[in-house]
Amino acid sequence: MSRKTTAKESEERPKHWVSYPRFLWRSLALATDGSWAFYAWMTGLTAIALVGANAWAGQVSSGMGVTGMSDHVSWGLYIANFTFAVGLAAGGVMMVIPAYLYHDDEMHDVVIVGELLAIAALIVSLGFVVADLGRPDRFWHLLPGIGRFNWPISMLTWDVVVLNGYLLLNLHICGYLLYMRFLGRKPNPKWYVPFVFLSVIWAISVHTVTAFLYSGLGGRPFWNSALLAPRFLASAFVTGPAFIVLALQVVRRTTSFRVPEGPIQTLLKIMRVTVLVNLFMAGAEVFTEFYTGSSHVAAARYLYIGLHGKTALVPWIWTGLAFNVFAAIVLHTPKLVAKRPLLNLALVLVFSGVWIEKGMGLIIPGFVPSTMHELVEYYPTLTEWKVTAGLWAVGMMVFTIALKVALPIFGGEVGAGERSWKRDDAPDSDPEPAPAE
Amino acid sequence: MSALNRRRLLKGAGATLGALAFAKAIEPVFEFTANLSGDEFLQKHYRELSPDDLRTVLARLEAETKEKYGADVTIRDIRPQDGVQFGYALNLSTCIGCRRCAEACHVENNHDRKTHQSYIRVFEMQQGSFDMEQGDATYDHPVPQPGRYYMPVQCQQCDNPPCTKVCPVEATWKEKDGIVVVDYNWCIGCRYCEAACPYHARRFNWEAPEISAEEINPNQSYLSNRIRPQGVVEKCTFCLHRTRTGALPACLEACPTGARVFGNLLDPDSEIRWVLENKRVFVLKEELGARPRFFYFFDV
Amino acid sequence: MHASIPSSLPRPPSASSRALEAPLVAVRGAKRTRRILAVSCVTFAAWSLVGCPQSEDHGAWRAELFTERENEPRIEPTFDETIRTPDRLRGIAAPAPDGGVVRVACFTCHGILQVELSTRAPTPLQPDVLGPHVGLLFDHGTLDCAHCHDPADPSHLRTADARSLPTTEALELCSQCHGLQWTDFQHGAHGGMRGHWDLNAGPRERNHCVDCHDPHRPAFGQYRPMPPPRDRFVPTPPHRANHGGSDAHASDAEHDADEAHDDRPEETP
Repeated sequence: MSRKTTAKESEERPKHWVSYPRFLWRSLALATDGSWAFYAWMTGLTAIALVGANAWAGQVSSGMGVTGMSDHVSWGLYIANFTFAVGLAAGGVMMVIPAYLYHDDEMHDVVIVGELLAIAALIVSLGFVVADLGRPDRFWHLLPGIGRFNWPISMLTWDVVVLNGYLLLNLHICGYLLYMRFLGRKPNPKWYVPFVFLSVIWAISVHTVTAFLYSGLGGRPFWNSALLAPRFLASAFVTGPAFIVLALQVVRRTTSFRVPEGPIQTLLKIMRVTVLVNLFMAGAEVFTEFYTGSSHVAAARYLYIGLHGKTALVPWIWTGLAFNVFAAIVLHTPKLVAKRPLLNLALVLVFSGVWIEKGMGLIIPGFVPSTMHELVEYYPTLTEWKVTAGLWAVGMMVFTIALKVALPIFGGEVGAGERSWKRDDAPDSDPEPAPAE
Repeated sequence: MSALNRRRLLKGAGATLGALAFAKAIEPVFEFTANLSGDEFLQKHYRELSPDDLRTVLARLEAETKEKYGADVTIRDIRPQDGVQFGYALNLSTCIGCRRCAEACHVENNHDRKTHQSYIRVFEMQQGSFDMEQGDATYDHPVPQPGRYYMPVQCQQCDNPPCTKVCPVEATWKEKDGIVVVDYNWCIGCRYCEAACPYHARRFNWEAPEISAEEINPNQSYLSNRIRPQGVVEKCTFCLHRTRTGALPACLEACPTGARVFGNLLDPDSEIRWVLENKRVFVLKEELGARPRFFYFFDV
Repeated sequence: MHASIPSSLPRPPSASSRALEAPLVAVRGAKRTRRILAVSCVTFAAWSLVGCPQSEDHGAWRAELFTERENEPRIEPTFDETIRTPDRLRGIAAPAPDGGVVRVACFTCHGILQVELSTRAPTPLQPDVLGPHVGLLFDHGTLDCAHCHDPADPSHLRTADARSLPTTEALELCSQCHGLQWTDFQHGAHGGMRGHWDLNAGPRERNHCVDCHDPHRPAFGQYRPMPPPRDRFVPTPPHRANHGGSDAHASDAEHDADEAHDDRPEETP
């Protein structure tokens, strides 16, 4: 991350080599201080993460045979979660666009939550890629320069580039803004606004590339659809806002950080569109598959109604769809939206619904039936569930800690100057200057 | 003040405990790395190895096979011949589905005994249909059955291979003579190639292969039938350790009916050329544009 | 990939006065940002194109197909292709006094015995008729013995154009009717083989017709296949998986298999 400053700035300001370590030290303190509930939450997550780490270690040692995958279904729960996590990371951009492109000031106040979500979700998705490798010890073969990076031919290398690039972009933007906030200085737009704009495009490309990973495979007709990338984006823009709305409410309840209602309403409005677009595109796929009735329908048939008596995914996909429809109804009924607990339930359900639909519901039918039309079903093993839970726990830890550090600094409670900055001292009405100048 | 100190102490204790628990949790990884030599970890890509490097690597692999499997084997590096492009054709009229090809592959290529692995799957198809959904690779009754025909499927050694282009680390590529190979010591095991292959030709080593010393075929090569490590992808190589020295592939020799025809596509007098020019041949899933080098034909 | 603002997105709800003036202020900055982004996009695209390796054409051999042969004299390969001569062409297996099997040349009996071959053979052949050939099943189209065996000299074969052939030359006789198979055989597209595809690297041995086809009953029989794959999770074929319940179909198949197994123990072609 480039947190450089111009020579002029460093002359009149305290030296960064003094203040930056102080910033990190203070961040560490912020990250580890908290209520008993916070410690309980983090301890719980740590426990789950450790169980996951142990399961993964066992998998590395005794081989992927401990998973439920086979030569017929060669990707499973890990890649399903990877896809979903990338979507979640891209979903954070739905805060950035209103905040920076449309200058929604209230959104601007909380946009850091979306950026931090992207960081946490990216770490999770990269974790799932590593968990899925048969030889994680050879990870260095992927490093450009040292290994042999098959770029630009392999879509997986594109994915590695965009995921890490997006991670770095968000780390830079968040890190720079927080550090400036910490110093009590106005962030210089030159050092972050171009990156913010780049991150908007990047967020779209991250999920597009992930979709291309699958849609580029001619041998898998279930994935080989131009609609896959648009569907990915639509569902990402359902899950991202859903998660953020829920997170914002938690932040509002558990911290002194001011969460205005405006951003929540904006995100709900976005969801109103995306949840329908997502359902519409799923419907369009279903029509094309079933009405054509070619042999390519086998995978969709397996997913929605079962194939030759094999029905493992059928209850799941209908549950997922029901959750999506339920959320769509709630979001489009103002009376129901006003009922916060019901709305929150709808958000949780639509989040899980998309997790089913674009996780297992997307990956597994790509393999069932296999390319030679053999029928082998896939059931994740306990090891896979443990690793999956562990990685999500790590993601939640990262997100919690990031918020724990960012919110007090961003809210102006903590800074380089006095220990106890009053929030009122912070230029609340103008947290970041407009990109002009 | 003491409250603050106590809190710091607790934090430190918590962090230490967490770190210890983490070290304990990932202990099995160290069992794995203990079996992994530094040379193996740092080994370069096959195509970057100098002749000297390669000699060292082959010697190391032979020693490892001796150590892990108790067998004395010779692992060679056999390069493609100039003026040779391999092609394969299979007569669906004469194939009787006896699976001798699959068995020969199993033995020749030192496959895992437990899963009875083979690069060839023979599908029992319904007469009057080419619907692979009606196919069955697990039949276990006398063959040929009336009303059925049999279609062995293995790597099609495509001219436009969908599997090699997806590999993020160039661990699999198409050689000069048309054979698609895998560097088992470079593959990271992401299985993207397995997802990309339209012919179910690739296999993953979900566990380290099990095979007894006396059953090991000692005539091995780096890119083909040496015993594969755990966690990497493997595939049919047209038995390149045999075919690059002029011999026929094991599956062809095993075929009792002569349904299999193999040879050099560049030789106008070769058997494979005669079949391509005189029989009505077709390839599987031609619409995918992978351009297989494995052809099928019917006599009648 | 360019930096234009997606127009499909909903407008934000905030209608404060600042929101109205902010875009005006932002114009200059946005322009610069767009320029930066455009430059980086172009650089990125150029990088992708340059980085793209020239894909090799592995299909160049296809242009060689169906082209006129040049009339170059064919260089004789170093090694030969040989055709096996199966033992059964040199006589019949007969029980030996010690309980084993002994191969008896045709001439041993037929040199002294006069056998009438003009009638159509009964199935199976009766002991009083054929002595050592007892139990021989005959099912070769509408042929009878004399179509292939020389009635004048039963230790020889007789071709369609009435030439007498030693039994070891059976290939010539077979090919007179089975032209299609003979053509395929000549081009290596019929019958098993072992050895080398490259006759400059080593020899090749071909199966004889009689290795796989019993001349008296040439149809290829049924065989027990080698064991099926034992994948981690065994695939279910549709006809067994149909309608969820697989028992009825599976047991049928097993039953069939057992029956056939009893009738015909494993043969080795």
